[in-house]
Amino acid sequence: MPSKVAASRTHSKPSPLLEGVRIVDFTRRFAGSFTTLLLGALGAEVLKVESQLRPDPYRGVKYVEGKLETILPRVGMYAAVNHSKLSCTLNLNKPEARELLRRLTVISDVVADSFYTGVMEKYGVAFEQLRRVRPDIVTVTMSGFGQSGPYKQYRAYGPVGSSFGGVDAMTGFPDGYPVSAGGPLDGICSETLAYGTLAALFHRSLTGEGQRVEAAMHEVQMSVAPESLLEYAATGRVPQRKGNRDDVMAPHSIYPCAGKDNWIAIAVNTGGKWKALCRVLGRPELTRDPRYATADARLRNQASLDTLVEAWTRRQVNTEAMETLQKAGVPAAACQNVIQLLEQDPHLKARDMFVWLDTPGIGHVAVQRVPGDVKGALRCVYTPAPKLGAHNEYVFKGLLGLPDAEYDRLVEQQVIY
Amino acid sequence: MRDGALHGLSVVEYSHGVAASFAGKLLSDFGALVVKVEDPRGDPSRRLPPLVTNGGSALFAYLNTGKDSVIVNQTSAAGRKVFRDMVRRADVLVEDLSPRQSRRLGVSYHSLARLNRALVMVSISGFGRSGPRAGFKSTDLVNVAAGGLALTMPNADEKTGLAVPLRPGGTFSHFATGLNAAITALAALMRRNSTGRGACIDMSEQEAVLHNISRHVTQYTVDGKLPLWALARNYGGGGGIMKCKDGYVMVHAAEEYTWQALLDVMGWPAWSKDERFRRRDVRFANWDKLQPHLDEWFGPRTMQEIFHTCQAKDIPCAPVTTPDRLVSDPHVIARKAIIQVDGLAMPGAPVRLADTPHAVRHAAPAPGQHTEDVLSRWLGYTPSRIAALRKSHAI
Repeated sequence: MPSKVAASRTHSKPSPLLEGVRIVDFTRRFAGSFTTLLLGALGAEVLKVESQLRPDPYRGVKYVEGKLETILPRVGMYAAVNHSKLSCTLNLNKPEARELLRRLTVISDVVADSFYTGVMEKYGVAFEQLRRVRPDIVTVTMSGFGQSGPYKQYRAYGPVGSSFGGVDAMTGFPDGYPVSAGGPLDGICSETLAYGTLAALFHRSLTGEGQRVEAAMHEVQMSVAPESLLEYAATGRVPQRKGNRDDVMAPHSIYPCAGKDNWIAIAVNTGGKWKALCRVLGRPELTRDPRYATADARLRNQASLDTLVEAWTRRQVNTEAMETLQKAGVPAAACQNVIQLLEQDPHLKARDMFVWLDTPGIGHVAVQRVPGDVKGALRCVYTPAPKLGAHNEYVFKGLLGLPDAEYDRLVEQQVIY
Repeated sequence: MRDGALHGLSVVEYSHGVAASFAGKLLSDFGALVVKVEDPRGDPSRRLPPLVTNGGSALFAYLNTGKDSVIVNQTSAAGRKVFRDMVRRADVLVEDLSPRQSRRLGVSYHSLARLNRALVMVSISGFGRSGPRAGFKSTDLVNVAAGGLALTMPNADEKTGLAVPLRPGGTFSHFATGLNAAITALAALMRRNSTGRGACIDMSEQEAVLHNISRHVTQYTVDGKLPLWALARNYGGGGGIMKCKDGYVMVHAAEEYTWQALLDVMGWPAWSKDERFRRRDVRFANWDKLQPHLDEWFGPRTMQEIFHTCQAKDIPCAPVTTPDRLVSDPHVIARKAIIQVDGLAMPGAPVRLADTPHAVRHAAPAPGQHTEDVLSRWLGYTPSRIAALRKSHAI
């Protein structure tokens, strides 16, 4: 039986961190799904609930005239944010399905969703309804603008949250448009909600009390990019976009290297590192140049400084330049694309940062370990993203103890569906 | 007020950087006792910009809410013993020492776990504690480059389509790392509560950054494509950041029905019937032809007008908010998303726990403000012992 709990008990090694935690998971698309993914990889048993009628849109399939059709191939994204979960199906239009769902929550610790306000109430699994059957339940909700306040009904994806929360206004070059930080950054919302869930579970483990946990995307973005608000609060000035420059460090930019799409980040944060950089550039005389003698002078003369650095980087391959600079003690890194991260970074390879999963219907895919699970140090659990309903028998016969005949009837009548 | 969710938990934070401080702040604001151990010179992050008018760091004030500051001179044997006594009593140690400092001060999991088997120790560094690049120097810019984020920002050159690497506003890598440190620490504490066994966590800033974009690596293993679908002003053919009368808005009509709703809001202009703009993929390819039509509608309207008009039709949209507008936004005010601590406005709860809410116990401490308090109340040192430690400059 594909139970992570059962599997881990056969080993004498230390157990996964969240062993024994069970999550009923209604999340869809990215932000909510990535939250439960993280908890699943940390060892919780995550039961993702969908139905043939309404599969997660990230599966790229849709129910059309009695059968599932592929509509939009986002299966890579699906595999990336739904591994380490189990899949079961319930047609919640049927009262019997809602009863099974109620029984599932009774034997679970957390119920997670990313629906709009009102959907969970309709299915009878909102916090107040669940609390009656499971007094210590923790409910977890990812929402765009939060569940209170004048914009509570407003819709958001990650990019909307980062615009409203103030990150985008600070992202981009001073003479250009603001740039959305939200696409790459919406994972931080999931991580923050996972943190809140763990805090609630920790509290519950000591007191027996459950509660509601909620994250609003813009508030997460505010909390992890507080600098512009703090600067405004401290000085009354609205700061400008800085591109890749910094308020105190110079040189500090991403410089083009030899060849196409080859870039390196270099950041000099002390006088000693400036001297080291001059030696690497083959320009030791610059250390005596008054234009660059102090941190303030280097900040004032950034434009000419960038020209000097670029004259050198243009002749380098970024990965080699990174090694040279780091050997001299200068903070530097090649800008890595996904191929380099996966196939070429010797450091990530040595730390075994990617796990390959044979994912049914999708193929052999790489997923990143949870940060901190270096070579499996935290005993995180990685199982392939499941096909729709792959674990129905385990969930309904195994966990809920339905007899075979009853299970078959519920499948037949499209309750487990 | 109710105790926070992490009431009863004790944390020692010995750090110089933003990531470890943010991990400590997350734990502190949810109720843990966080003892910030500083060297006699004070945590260097006390000097991080932005600075308030009296010279203090506003960023430090944000990162260290509710913590107790203890100054310990770890170059003295007596000082190191005080530190070890704290670790003996702590549930969690968060540190970001360089490998050289760790060796000099004897701060290793191997030696500290002998004092406290249940200790959860999180070590934060740019590239982690093992592997060929362990010990490489890092800053936020270096982290976002090494972790792949800089090349994943939707900032491709509009003519060539090639990525132009960019760092997100703020210092994203440090906050992502602190958050992941706090997550793994809490998860490790859940196991410790049932088994008594602690954990040693090697948290790398590169890997914390990567975690936020690694879905693109997975996608690449499925279809062999690099994530280059979003340009600065063409967000996958469903909108993007638009210039308007008094600033910018983000409109993200990701689905076909939200795009239809946007056309509805714009009154079904003639160009909407153009084949080049019908489907998302062809819109993406023909965006430079579409942009002037959109500008015509967005240009003369205000951020607030566009925001509320679009949201009334369920179109994901928001103003690109600057801090002066954020502080006066009615939604931000209604949810108390910005709080005042000692007269300084700062972000409030990142996530809300209904019954054990986020709460700032007190403002960021002065260096050593709680040394005596922590030594006497938490460690149970006698006044004479504390006086002797003071006399020998161990504290």
